[in-house]
Amino acid sequence: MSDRRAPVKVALLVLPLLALVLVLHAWGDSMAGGLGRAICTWKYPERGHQSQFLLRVPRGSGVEAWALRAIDDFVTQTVKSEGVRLALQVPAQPVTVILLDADAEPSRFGSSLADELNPNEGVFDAARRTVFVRMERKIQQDLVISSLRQAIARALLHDAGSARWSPWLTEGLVGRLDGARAADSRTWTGELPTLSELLRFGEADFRGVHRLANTRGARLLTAFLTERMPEKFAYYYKEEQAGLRPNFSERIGDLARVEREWRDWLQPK
Amino acid sequence: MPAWEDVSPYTEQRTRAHRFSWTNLLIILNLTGFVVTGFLTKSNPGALAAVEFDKTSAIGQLQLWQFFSYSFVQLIDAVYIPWLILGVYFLYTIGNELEAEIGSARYLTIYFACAAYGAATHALLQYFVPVFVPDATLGRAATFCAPVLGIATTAASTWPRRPVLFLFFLPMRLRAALAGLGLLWLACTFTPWLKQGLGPSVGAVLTALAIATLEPRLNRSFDRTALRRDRDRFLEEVDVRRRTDGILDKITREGIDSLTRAERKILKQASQILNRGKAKPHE
Repeated sequence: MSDRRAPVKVALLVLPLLALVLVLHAWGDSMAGGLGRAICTWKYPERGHQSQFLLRVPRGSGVEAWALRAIDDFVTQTVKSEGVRLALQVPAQPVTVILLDADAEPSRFGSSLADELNPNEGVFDAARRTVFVRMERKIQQDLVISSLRQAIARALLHDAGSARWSPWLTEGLVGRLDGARAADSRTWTGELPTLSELLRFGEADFRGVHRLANTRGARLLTAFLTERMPEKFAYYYKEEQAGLRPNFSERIGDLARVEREWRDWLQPK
Repeated sequence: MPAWEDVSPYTEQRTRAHRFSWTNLLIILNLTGFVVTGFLTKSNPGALAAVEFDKTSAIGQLQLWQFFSYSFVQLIDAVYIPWLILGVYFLYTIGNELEAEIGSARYLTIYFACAAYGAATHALLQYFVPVFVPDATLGRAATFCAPVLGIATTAASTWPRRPVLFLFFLPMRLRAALAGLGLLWLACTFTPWLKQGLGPSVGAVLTALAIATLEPRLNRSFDRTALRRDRDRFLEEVDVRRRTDGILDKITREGIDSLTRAERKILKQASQILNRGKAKPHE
C-alpha cells in the first residue's frame, strides 16, 4: 500500500465495522425484538372476534374455528349464568387470546408470565390483557378448550376486580366458572392444604410446586361454600369484591368448624 | 505430473524463515493461547469469558478487545485439535510466504480485519438466529480459524494455481485445496462441538474475498484519478508555456518594463505552475 492510499484503505476497513458495532450497540436488541415480533405477527395473524376477544393462532393450524366458538360459548354462558351473582360481564376492553404452538416463545409477545407454560396450560397476563394457551404439537382440542376456558375465566374475574381479592377465592371461582365438576376433584386422593393454609396462600403458592394440590383445595373449598352456605359466601364475595378484605371466620364461621364440615363434605359419599 | 520439488523448490527455502516474521509470532501467541485456555477453563472461567467473544459483553458493554482477543482463545476439544494443527501448519508455510509477498503491515491488517469481521458476523448471528430458530443458542466464540481462513482465502486469491500437498500427501492447486478444506471446516462448524466457529469463519472468508475483490478496484480508481490529475497538469503546463512564450518574446524585444499588469500576472502564475512539485533548494 502506498502511503497516500493506506489511510483511505484502513478507513474503508474500519469504518463499516465501527458503524456496525455502534448500530448493534444502540439498536441490536430492539431490532432483533422487532424482527421477532414481525415474524410473530406473521405467524400468528389476528382474527377479530365480536365479544372483545381478539384471537391469534398459528398460521395454517386450523384451530380458529373451534377456538372462536369455544370462547364465544364460554363467555356467553358464563355471563348469563354467573353474571349477576359474581358481577361478571363481557370485557369492556379487548382481550387478546394467543394459542401458542409447541415451539413458540411467549417472550416474543412481550410477556414473561407465559414463559413456563406447559402444553395445554393457560395463563392470563393482566398487564397486557392477553390470554396465552400453549398447545401440543399434536393439538388436543378438549384440553386446549379447557385451558382456554380457565384462562378466560381469569380474565373475566380480573375485570370484576380479582386483583384485590384473596388468591384462593380467584382460584376457587376459576374452577367454578370453567365448569369442572366438584365431584371430580373430590375423588382426588392426594393431600389437600388445610383451610387456614389456603386462606394464607399468596398468588405464588398457586403457581409453585404444590400448585395442583393448592388449586384443587381452593376449588373444593369454593364448591363447598357455594353448596353448603351460599348466602354467607355471596356476602363474603361481595365484601371481597368491594376490596374490604373481610375476615373469613367472622363472615363464614369459625375456622375449625368450617374445616371440619369441609373435610366431612370431602369424604366420598 | 511434475515432482513436488520441480514445481515448488522456492517453498522449501521460503518457509524456513530465519528472520523475524509476524506470522511466527502469531503462531506462538495462538499456541500459548491454547495452553492458557486449558488452564483457565478449569481454574478461572471468568477470565476466559472476558477474552472470548460474546455480543452481550463485546457490543452491549463495548468490550471491544474481544473482537481480536477471541482469536487467541482455542477450544479445548479433541475434535478441534486437528484443525489447530492444520491451522498452525498453514500459517507456518503459506502464511509466512504471504507475509513476505504482501508485506507485514498488509498481512497483519488482513489477519486482524478477518478476526474482527468474523466476530461481527458471530454477533449478527447471536442477535438474529434466535429470532428465526428460538431453540438455537449461540455461545461465545473462541477460535483462531477465522483469521486463518481469511489468510487462506487471501493466499488462494494471490496464488490460485500454486501447488500444495493437500492434507500433507495429495498434490493439488492451492485454490482447490483451500476450497475443500474451507468447506470441510464450515461443515464441521454445524456440529455441536464446533458450532461457535461458524459465524467467525463465514465472516472472515467474506471479508478476505471482499478485500481481494475491492482492493484492486480501489487501486485502479486511485490510478485513474492520478492519471487524470497528471494529464490535467500536463495540459495546463502546455497552455501556460504557450501563453508565456509570447510574453518572453516581448520581454526580449521591448524589455521587462513593457509588460502590462495582466502579463505580469500570467508570468507569476506560470512560475508557480512550472515549479509545482519541485523540491525547495534547501530541502
